[in-house]
Amino acid sequence: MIHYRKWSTAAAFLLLAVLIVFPLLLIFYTAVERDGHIDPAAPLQMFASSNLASVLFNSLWLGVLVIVVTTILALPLAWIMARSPLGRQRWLDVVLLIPFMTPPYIGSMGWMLFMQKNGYMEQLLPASAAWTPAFFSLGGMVMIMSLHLFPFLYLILRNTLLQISGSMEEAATVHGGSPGYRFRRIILPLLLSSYAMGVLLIFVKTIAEFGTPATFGRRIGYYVMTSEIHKYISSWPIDFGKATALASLLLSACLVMWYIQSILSSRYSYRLTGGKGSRQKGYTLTGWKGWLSGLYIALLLVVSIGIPYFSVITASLLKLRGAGIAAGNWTFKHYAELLQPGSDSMEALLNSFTLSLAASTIAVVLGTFFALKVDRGQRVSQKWIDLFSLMPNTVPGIVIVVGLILFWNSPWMPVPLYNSYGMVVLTYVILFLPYTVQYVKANYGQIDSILLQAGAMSGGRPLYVFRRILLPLLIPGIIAGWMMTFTISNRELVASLLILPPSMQTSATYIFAQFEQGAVSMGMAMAVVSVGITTVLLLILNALPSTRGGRQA
Amino acid sequence: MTEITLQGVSKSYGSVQALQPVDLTILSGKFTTLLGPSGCGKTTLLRLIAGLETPDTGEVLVDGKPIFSQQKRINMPSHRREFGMVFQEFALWPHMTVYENVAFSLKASGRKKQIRESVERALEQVRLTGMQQRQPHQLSGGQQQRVAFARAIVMQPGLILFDEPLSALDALLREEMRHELMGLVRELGITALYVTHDQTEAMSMSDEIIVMQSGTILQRGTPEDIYRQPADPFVARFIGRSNWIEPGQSLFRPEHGCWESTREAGEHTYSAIIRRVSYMGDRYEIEMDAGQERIWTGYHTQRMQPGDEVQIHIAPHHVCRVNHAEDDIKLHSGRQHIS
Repeated sequence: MIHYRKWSTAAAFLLLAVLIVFPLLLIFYTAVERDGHIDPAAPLQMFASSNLASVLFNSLWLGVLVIVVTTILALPLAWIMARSPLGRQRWLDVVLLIPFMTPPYIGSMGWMLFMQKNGYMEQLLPASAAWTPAFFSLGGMVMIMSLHLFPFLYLILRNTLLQISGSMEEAATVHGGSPGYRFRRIILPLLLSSYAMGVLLIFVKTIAEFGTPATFGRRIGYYVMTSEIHKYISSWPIDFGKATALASLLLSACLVMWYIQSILSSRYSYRLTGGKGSRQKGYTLTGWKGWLSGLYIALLLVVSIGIPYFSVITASLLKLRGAGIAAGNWTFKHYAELLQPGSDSMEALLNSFTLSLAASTIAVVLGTFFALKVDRGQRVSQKWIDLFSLMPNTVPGIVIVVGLILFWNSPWMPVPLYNSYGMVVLTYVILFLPYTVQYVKANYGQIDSILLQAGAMSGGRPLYVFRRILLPLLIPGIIAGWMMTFTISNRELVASLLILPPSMQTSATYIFAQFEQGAVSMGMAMAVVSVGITTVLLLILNALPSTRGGRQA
Repeated sequence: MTEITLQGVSKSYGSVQALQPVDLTILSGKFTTLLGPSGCGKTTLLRLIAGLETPDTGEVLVDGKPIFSQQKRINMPSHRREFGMVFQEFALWPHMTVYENVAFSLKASGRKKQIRESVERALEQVRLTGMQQRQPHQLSGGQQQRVAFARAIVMQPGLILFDEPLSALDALLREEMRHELMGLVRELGITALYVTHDQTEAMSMSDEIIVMQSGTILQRGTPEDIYRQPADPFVARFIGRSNWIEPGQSLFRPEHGCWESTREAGEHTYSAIIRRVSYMGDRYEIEMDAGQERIWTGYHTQRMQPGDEVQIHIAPHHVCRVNHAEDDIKLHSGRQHIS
């Protein structure tokens, strides 16, 4: 038993070092290495001598603006959903997750199609031509990204508001607090720590985001760190020095943010669920307040889901782009062409499927192993495994990808994985490992260890107890991790763009390439198919009766 | 039937000594209870015997053969010790049916023959026939408790360990299960080691009680011994109510205080002021002040008035002295010899 534990811990560290830690360190090393010797000032010189500083500023400014707009969108929504009968509409919660689950590059493309010259906006409302060009600005970019990210902040705020139990407010009322005073002295302080955490995460997600800068940002000439890293790695002249300088900067910024966030969460968060009595006050929004709330949600749904999906679906169904939205201009021929056996598009779709299938299966095995090694995270070694295995969630995807390229493409690498099918799978596995780790860890945390002790006392060998008791009980977490990895790998853009061997395409790169080359209909048809299939898959797996292991006594 | 012997077994967690070195024999075929407040080391002791924790020092012997020995570097893992165990909160596996739960140990040890018969017999013994295909969450608390018990006895172990098995049940059910559990253990004739903090459970079920406090064994004896001749002030305070005559030295139990003199030779008589009267239904509980900071409890059939002065009489054989035994224990420096 002891031997097994030692060996498996060593194996976990070795795996994490090779897969995650070493490639990331290599980024820092490459950034400071010049002709064989270390020059810590190298990245600074580079910043002084090029326009990288403005790129950095662009990223940070974008982050700040997105925080402001997501707050404006999410706070009223969270309030309405936590404090009004509308919150009881369960379907709204699922629907509100759609913007977040939509790949950002697809959302951006939808917006561009809608707002561009002769786009759907102008076709539906010709007078809007006066102001649609104004959309193609930093303001538009902030709006698109905020509409993608706001559900995240909304969920955090709403959950906190729900946890601030009715009795806390009742106590304040009984002790003489007016509504304004209650909000200021009770709700706000309790909400603030969650808000700060949510906002930090929004900031990190914004500066780590690639899809919108790569599509919309490029169109308006607003360059940020992720899009520049992509540029320096993928298009001539290739400059790994600049790419790694930017990547290490981005990496450091995100790590600092996560560090602040973890301090905040450990110091300034309160246990809000007060035992049994956490019941909800029966709020009723009547009259104009109710109408206003409903209207707000409806408007938000139209803007965040309606417009992008309308554009994407319309574009995939139009016969002739020039003819626009008109009777007789509708067709399914793009779909027929897309799904033609043997076509490039069909091949890309199948590639995505097989790559994701392989990646999610491997990720689930590795992730479960790491999650079990983390256990309750009490030992120092367990904490490190936890930290490292969740690293890909902390670090922007593009940074991980740069590290993996540096590592697996280096001259001294004996394993010829680079430029192969396996490299893509490996990248997906690493990028999405944290999902399985987190799901399985949460699942494992709910399993009382006496269930396993009871197995040992009943004469079960450790392996037998693992197979017959622990594994069946972990199935729900494992399935959730698998589903998530499969879905997200299917839609992954940046890793696919940078890692795919030449002449190989996935659905994401296909959409990107078609859009770039002006074959919008085909690209959007692919977007509908790809998002559609993965969404349906998620719904099916979600609706499956949770396996017998899902029930806890 | 199995006899367990512990020699110099101790356990600490970091700087906390959960169990001082202990010598102890759990007699074969007896129902032995480890009784003490939470954190006294009783659960640690049980888990050391189960093999769920590893002792720091000493030896654990089953019928004279070591299953753990620090010196000989023997540590038999739990799954090979072949004890039955009933856990707090039952620890039934939620993904298995009642049948699968009970059959687990038979399958785990590769006894493929007559699984069905063995499981059915065990379920019959706990009166759960016909429940084989239920899931644990479909059962009531008492039924879950019975399944846990059936699971522990299906292998016909020589020793069965109970870790506060009744604490998850409500008061009424607890009493019912207590009788049932005791009956079953007696019927099967197995050695039982039972951990509890509930003195009623300990007194009513046990052949022997071992009272523990902060990692040491204070006293061992039959329930009657423990109640009538507490060897330590803590034992006297923990089990039953005690009216101290001289703090830490002599006491009497509330039911032995008489309101009228028995005229027995050597009778102790004290006067006291009534402080509080509580009606308990079957009797009145009288709290009184006998001076010198002695607050006593007495029982009476009629209501009395607070502030009244009363005489209380105690027969000499009902006054027990506690400090002798304590001196004995102190002679053995650190190491506890109790057998």
